[in-house]
Amino acid sequence: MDFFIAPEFLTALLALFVLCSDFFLKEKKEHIVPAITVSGAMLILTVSFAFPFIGESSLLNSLFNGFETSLGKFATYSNDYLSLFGSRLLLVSLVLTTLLSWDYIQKRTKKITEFYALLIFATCGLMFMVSAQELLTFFVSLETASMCLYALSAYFTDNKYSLEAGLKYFLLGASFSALMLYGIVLVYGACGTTNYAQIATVISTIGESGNTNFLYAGVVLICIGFAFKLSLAPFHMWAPDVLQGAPTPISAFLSVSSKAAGFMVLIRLTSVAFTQMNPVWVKFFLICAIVSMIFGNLIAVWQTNMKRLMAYSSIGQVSYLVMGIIATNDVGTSALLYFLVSYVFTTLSIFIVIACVSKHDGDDMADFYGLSKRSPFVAMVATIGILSLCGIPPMSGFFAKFYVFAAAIKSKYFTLVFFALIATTVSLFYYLNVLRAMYIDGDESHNTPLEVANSSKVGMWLCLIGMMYFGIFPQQLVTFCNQVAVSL
Amino acid sequence: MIELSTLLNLAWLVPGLPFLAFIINFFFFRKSAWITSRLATLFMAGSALISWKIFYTVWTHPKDFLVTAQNWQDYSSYFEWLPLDPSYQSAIQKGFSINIGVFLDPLSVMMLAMVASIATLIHIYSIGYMHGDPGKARFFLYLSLFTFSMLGMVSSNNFMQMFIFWELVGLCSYLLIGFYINKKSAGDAAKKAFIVTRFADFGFMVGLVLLAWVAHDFNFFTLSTRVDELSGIVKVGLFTFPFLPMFSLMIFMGAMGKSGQFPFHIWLPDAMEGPTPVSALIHAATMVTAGVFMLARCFPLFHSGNEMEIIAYIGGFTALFAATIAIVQFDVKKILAYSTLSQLGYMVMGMGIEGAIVAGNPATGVFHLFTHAFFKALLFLGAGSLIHAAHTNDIRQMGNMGKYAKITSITFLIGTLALCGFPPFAGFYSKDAIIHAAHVNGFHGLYILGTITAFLTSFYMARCLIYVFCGEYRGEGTPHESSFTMTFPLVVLAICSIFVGWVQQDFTIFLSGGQMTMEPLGMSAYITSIVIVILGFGSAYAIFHKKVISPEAISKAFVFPHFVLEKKYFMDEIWDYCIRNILLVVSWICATFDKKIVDGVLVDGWDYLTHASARVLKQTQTGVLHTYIFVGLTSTVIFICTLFIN
Repeated sequence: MDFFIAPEFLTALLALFVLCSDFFLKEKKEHIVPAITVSGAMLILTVSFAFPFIGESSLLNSLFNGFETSLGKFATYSNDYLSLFGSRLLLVSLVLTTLLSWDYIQKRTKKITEFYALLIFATCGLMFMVSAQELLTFFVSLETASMCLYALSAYFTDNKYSLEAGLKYFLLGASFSALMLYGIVLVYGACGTTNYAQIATVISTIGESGNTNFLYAGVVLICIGFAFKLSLAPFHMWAPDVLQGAPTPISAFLSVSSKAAGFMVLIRLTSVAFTQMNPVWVKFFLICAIVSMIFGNLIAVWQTNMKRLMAYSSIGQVSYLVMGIIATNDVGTSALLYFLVSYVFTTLSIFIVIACVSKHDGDDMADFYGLSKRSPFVAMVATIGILSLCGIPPMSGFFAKFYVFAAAIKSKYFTLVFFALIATTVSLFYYLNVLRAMYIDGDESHNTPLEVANSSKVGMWLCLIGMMYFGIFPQQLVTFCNQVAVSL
Repeated sequence: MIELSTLLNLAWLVPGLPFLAFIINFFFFRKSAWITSRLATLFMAGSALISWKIFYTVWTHPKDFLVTAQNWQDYSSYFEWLPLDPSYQSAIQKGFSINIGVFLDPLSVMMLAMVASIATLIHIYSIGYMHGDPGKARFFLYLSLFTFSMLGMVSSNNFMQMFIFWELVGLCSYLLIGFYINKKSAGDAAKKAFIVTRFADFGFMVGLVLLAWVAHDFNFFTLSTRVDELSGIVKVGLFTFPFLPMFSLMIFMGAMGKSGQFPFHIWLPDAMEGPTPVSALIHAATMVTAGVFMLARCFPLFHSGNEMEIIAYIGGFTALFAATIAIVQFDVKKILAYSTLSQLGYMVMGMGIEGAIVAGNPATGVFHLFTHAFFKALLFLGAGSLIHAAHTNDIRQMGNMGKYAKITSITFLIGTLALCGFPPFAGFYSKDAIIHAAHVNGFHGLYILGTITAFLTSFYMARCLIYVFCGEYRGEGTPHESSFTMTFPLVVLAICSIFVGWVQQDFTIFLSGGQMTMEPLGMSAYITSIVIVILGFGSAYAIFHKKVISPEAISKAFVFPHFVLEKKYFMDEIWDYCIRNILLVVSWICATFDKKIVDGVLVDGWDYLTHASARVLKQTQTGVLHTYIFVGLTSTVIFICTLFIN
């Protein structure tokens, strides 16, 4: 079976299949293509649960991993627990994003197939990114995903906001990719290798003697590249504009999948390649986290556009997530992974609601007025999602925050946790505003029943189950996260 | 003997079936009372059958079920619900966590069988009793939920699961007391019950937090091996105290609330506002004995601590205190409620006495819990049947009920004899064992308290019987016997009330896993008991029937004591006074502080600060690409520079 059952491979196949389906599908594309996407992703997910592919692959070894260098075997790519975790999470996110797009895309454009194909390609790129074992493979995978996402952000070519979002994302993304690539070059220059494990070996031998300035600068530049992708302040400025303008499914994908994958790579880099360098990146992320907590949560208070609000909210959420990296221990890694799962379900639940509710492309908070009367179910999903974002038990968001904060406290970052707690209280301002819009605001004009497509309903149910299940029975997931964290 | 693992798997079904009934009824049959009631009863009966199967296996093999700290895991089947220690080690070894599951030791098996059987009978009874009530479906929903919670509580192997279900039964009790939602008194009673028990549960919660803080463990059995270590002085925050006594008193506070020990007893008589089957199931047989169950569960932890003597005296006092109030009550359910309080006092006293001596045997108290469940459920159901017949709770408006409702009357009489402890009925074996234990272990004060209470019990029950069965019918209309669904449980419970006492010896062996025996009660106990019952009945007969001294004359002669009893020792007023004058003043101060300082300065100030600073920060987001790149690159330069400056 070997590599042929690895989710990365299957997802690439699925993407090609969806792309080709355009040739032989004549009618009802708008239903068949997303159906293929969802069922294909579910199938891959099932395979990955039934036959988890972990370990050495003879095929891959002969193709990519067989190089012997002076530092030992040079691997470019491998399947381990983290990549298994990553591919499962990304597939879940793909399924939910597709369910979210189903109705939304069909109503707004005729170009159906490319949308889903690009979405799957992006997911596939992110999966390879998580599994990559060296910097160049990682970078190429990252760019694969980014290219798809640049195109997808500007997907509604007749909408100037979408175009603006695409252009901004592309220009800024290209700039920061360049910075990151420069960082990779510096690290290569200092270490003579791009493989994570080998970098770690080299760094541990350089010690005090060698000139480490290049290396330091390289690590900081790579971290800046990550900070950009994860929209950590002060590199966050693209996020609100892009997330507001881009099609809602892409906003969701940008704030969920690409961030989740980014964090998993970051886990790999910080716990494998740059472990010895932790004073550098801990300081970097510490500053970024605190700045993000302030910026993300405070600016969100004034937002009236739901997608923009979610962009700021996700800047805030990312600043909690990054605490798991800062903690620099297995507990932090495990907590971060748990948080990612919770984050995927929670954030997507809100985005699905936004996609259902928004009448025009404004996504204004006014669209939420009287939602509790228009569709009690949708209002309930949004409420539970918001409460989970706030971190209120029994939703999964509570344990996510709890474990991350516990990890940070264990590493004695009391100031950081203090800031995070204040940021959490500030975040209530704008989160509860949404609840107010749904349950209190609005008048007689806001009670026409809301039509919700079945696909969106399924998506909402899945998010609901995810949030509640992992909130009430966190044990299984925590065990798996621990396993992943220990395996690194 | 069947495999232990099979038994454990079966045990999941005991609380599982009522829960399933609740879920199915909730989602599908909320509208149809007919289906809801039958389905709930059927599932409950299945649960009871399984529990008997388990009970029978354990009963016949007591020696195989000696659960200790070493082998408790063999007897429990659970899942780790909440890992409290988020460290990675828990992937390899089990860390400190909250576990949920079932657990089979003699005590839990006994409770499972007892609760499931009585719940089944009461389900059957309720089909008849709640007939025609618009809320019947809702009633059965709550009943299923309650039974699930109660069974979940008794099958826990750790404090945390116990606490979770403890609160759940409290919730169900609240819902069922306030079942008649249109009756204000029911709503008030429900709130009173909930608030008073919550207040007591605060102690339980503090105990649990202390336990988590100090011992990092919730399991009953692993904790029991650490008694010596835990008895030491600990320092929690600013406070220094010996851990175990503090912990046991805190936990016991929760038990006092649930089991209505003085001064937390005030909610139980009011709880009679609920439908009578609820009073029988929750407020007589099962939930209110949770406190006693907890004492039995923690027996190894509390054992031979000085605090157990305090507990015994609280129990003894409650027994006497409640019995005296019962004398002047005219509501048949209130009489039974005070009687329940009094009997709970006995149980707590029994646990306290046995806990305070070295060779203590928890079976004494637990056995009374066991027998009491049967005859008190019987009495309540009988009372329900009488109320159903006469359409009133007031015993002054009944009379000559034996003529109209034969089965009810006979079973009620049997229940009364069992409660009074007339040999060979069940109550004698259990209650007199407690009084006997007080006597032989030198607790003379408790012995006297117990004996007086026994006399008072006979007295007020005889008074109740005389009002209900003698003279002419004083109410309106013609009473009638209840339907078969209602009389059947009465008959079953009556038979149990006669016979369950006889297993006293076996019960002790069973409960201790074959380690302990109890000496049978001697002839003196028989004679004392018979004399006391005859004295009680005789004096009640003389006063209330023959009117040798008329009750009015007595109340005239002792105006003040009578008034005090009628006012239930002013306990409600005392609580009311305390709450009004202490709590409300404190709350007023807190509220003012909250309004002026917290709301005024902190919240509004925080709000202002947030909005103002957000307004400034918002300006950074210009929407212009140049700005974004400029900010990003400037930050990059700054980051790199900081690095080189260091």
